[in-house]
Amino acid sequence: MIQILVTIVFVVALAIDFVPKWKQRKQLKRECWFYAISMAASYAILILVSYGKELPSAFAPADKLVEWLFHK
Amino acid sequence: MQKETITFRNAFFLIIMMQISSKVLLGFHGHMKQDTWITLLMATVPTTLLMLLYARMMKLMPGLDIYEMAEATLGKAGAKIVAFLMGYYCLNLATLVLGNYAEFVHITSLFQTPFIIVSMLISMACLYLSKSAMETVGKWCAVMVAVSAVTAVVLVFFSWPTMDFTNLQPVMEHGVGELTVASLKLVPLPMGEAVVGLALLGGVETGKGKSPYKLWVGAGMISILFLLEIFVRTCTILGSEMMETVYFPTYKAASLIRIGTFLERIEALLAFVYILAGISKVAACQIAASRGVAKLFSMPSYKPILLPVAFLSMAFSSILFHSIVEMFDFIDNYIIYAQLFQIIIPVVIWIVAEVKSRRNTLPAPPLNIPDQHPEPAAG
Repeated sequence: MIQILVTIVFVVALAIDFVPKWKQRKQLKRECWFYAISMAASYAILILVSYGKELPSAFAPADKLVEWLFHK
Repeated sequence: MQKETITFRNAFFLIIMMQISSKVLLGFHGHMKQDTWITLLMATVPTTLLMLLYARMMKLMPGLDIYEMAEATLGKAGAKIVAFLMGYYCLNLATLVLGNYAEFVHITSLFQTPFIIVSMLISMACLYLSKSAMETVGKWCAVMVAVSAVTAVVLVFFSWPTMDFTNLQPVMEHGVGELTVASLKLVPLPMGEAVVGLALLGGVETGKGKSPYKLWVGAGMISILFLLEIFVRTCTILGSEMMETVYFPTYKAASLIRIGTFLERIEALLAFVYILAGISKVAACQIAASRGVAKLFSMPSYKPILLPVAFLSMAFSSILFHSIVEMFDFIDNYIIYAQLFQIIIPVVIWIVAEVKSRRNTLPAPPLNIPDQHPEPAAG
């Protein structure tokens, strides 16, 4: 159920926001690339989390660096 | 990049909202218990210094945001590094605040609803606000500061019978050294989070009586007053021990208000105000992060990439913390690494700007600095 909802939200968002940009993809080359990569990454994360996958924390690198520098 | 204007008043409230909205939710977990009010008063000194730093940067380079300031002082390569770091920090902060608020809603009211759904709903509201332009975010912040002030007065009025001022004793149980360290910890969280304002307020109006010093220092002092009121109210209702133990102490304190049998569950009002305040902070962070990405990839405008940035923050918030305990433990590490973005980067830009300004090598300010109330011509 969550997966369907997430997919609907992404499809609607892309339809409203991305389709007009895709038509001007020659002028908005960088925007389109950034857009595609970020949206694919976001969708993959949300789908994996909704299936119960335990992904590493978004702050794991910063957390580990601070632990290593200041708390050891 | 096209400059978005924001009025002086709205910029003032935006800075206040950046500083207070996280702390009112998370409470004061500095282990100073009843002496926290002293640390808040002591924090006025480092906060004023930090606000003076930000104000000086705006004074030296009027009409520029932090990314443009970095370009003017550190060159193109330096500007790219600053855009990457500050963009990362703003995205990080948007994620963190979104995660905090989604966790709050998830734990206090919608505990059977999946976290992703809660996060998605809040994120959509933030995206709608951030897409509406900077001036709208500023207006929203102004409204939310006013609503928060009224809510604070109402809560003090209704909690008065429950407030026990002996909970603030014994005074100075902790030593001066401990209190000083705790007051310095209040700089990265929450006062330094106003650094996001440097990425947003390039288009703030200038003119007579609208000095950047007044803007930053004034907002910082009002934020501390807000935090003092919140602390005193929470501590006198819950007591210092309980305040340190519970996760959302201000919400818990409001839940104890009962006027006879007709006025209960007033904490729902507080939760509503918190969420609306959080939305404005997340929206501001999303705009700042998008501006950083746009600068990094030399895009003409940040608006086309607001949506992917908002979705990234939504996705990251779902893998942010595995439990609420982890969320509160992270604060200790956050106050260390946030200093790079809140203090070190601005200090580097400021020093180079001072040197360049003495040598008259700073680029001239843009001609389109908004001045909505120019001084009348002499004569």
